Amino acid sequence: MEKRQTKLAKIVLPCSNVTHQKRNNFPVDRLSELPEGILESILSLLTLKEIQRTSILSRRWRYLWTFVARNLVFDYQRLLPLQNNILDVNFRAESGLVNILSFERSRFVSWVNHVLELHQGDTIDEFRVLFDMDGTFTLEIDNWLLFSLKKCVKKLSLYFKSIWRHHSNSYTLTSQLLHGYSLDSLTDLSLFFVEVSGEVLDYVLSNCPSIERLRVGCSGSLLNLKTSSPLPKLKHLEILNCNSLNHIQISAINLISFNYSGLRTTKILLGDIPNFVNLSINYRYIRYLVKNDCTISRYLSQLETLGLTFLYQIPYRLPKLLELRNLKQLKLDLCPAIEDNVCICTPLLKAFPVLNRIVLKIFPPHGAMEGELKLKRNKYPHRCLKEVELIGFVGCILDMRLALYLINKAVSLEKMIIDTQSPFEEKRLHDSIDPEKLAAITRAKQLETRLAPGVKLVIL
Amino acid sequence: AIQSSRFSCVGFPLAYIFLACKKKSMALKLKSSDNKIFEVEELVAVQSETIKSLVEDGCANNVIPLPNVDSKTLELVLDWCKNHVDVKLDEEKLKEYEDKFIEVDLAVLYDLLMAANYLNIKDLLNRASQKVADMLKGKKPEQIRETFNIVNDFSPEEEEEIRKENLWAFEE
Repeated sequence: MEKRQTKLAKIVLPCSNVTHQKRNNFPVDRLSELPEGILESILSLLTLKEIQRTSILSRRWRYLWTFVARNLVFDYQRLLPLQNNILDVNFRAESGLVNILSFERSRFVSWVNHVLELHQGDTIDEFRVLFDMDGTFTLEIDNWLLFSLKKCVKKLSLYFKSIWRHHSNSYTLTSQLLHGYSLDSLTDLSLFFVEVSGEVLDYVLSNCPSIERLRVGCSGSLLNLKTSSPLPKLKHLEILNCNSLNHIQISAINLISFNYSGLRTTKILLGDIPNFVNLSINYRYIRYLVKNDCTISRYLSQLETLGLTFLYQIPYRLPKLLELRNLKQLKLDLCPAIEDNVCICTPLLKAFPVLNRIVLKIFPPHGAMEGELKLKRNKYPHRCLKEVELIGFVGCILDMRLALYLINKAVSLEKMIIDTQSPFEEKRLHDSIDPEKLAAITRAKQLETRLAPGVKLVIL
Repeated sequence: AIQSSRFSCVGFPLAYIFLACKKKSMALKLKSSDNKIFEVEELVAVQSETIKSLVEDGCANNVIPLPNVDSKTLELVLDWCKNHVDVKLDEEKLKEYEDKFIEVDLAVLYDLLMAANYLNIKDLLNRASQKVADMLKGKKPEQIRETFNIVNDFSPEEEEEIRKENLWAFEE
């Protein structure tokens, strides 16, 4: 009897010890106990890599990510240091760029394959690959596409930009690959640096009843983008730098925005587009738009947002071409070839007096950081402009001058956003804080003292 | 520093009748797990999809029991709903409110997550999830375990294996 008691005591003691410890040193882990739906909602806000890293937390988490990962975004982070050094000839010679690149590519491919192999969820929202890939990986890329279609992907995006020279053999999308696969769930399709012909795009689009956004860029094989059936759901169309393109002929009655850059000779026919309010276009194409009697020109008066890219010259003639009574927002991509960004803004601000938001993207190379900050007198104040956004701000003299010019000009300014991140889309995903960025932030802060009281300054 | 809720517990039948007379904004009674009754305008309460479907099915005439939500959490949740009824509220102010609202300790945050999930209030679930996600972001596994009291039940060998398996993800 006595013996039994001691046994019990022995058993009981360590146990009670553990619960005691649990209460004090190891409070309950409520996160791991949350229902899967909630964990999914949390994890869906992290990048794929961050989700994948949770596999090491504990057994509960080991394969959790394979069930909840709905946004499969494979991007190009590891190539960034390479890309930043690429212009340096010595670097290219020393590091054996080709070798490094092929090493990184094969690692990238095995990462994607590994994730796809483990993925357990029935459906995914997004499948995006952003990497320097070419036609040597056709087999793999084909498999990735089929995987995403099997999982009823909604947003599909391939961005195969080369970090150095143009690919001699780009990946080509074929319609044979897609035969037998349903494209019903696809709402967003982006193909950049992917060779895709008009016939293939027509095949894809006529099998995509839900397509809302189509973006195609840098495909030399695209000669004629003509769809055989109307696309009633298409709201956003973007065709960029497809340099063999002759025709765009699409019937999309609900189109809201159209973004085009490329040849001036391309004929663009978009049919009736009563809801059209947003146009982005090369500055040079505008004239042809009006001259070619492109359908868009009939809808210019209802335009609310206008984006102008590649402004090589001061747009004195533009305002005469365009009468945009309803224009609320102007987005400009400022080309480094122009010395003085202020000169570009002046005629435009004068031409669009009801504008209330202007967004300026500043592309490198940037000017000198030090120098004299000359400001002209503000003769014509702009009374409607309430919000100004500068993207790619590095704080050089030209940037500061532009910012101060706009502060003076916009007498009703309410908010100024200074975005110190890179203007390039692929770099924005992984913007890190470096000394240059800190310098830009410091300069941006100096603007605060120049702002009228009550004007909000947001620095990103 | 959360705004005190404007919802009174039951005890004002007159107010109830007054609210009930207004056609568009009927009052609903919600009972928390600890048996407190909250009177809420229907417009506020139906931001919860769960309550909305009860109302639509005509099951909301009496007190609606919410056995999974305690009164402390329910009060917070209703405050959130009240502030999201008025769509005219400008974005910045709403964001300011949300940021302040979500400044709570982990225990409350879990309660909010559970309640938002059970009551099916999407924007609240998203905002609370965002808060947890922000706490996970950019942290090493050890730091995450420490923050959330997750016990590592892997052997060192297993851990090594997982790291190898997901090599790309663990590199900086």
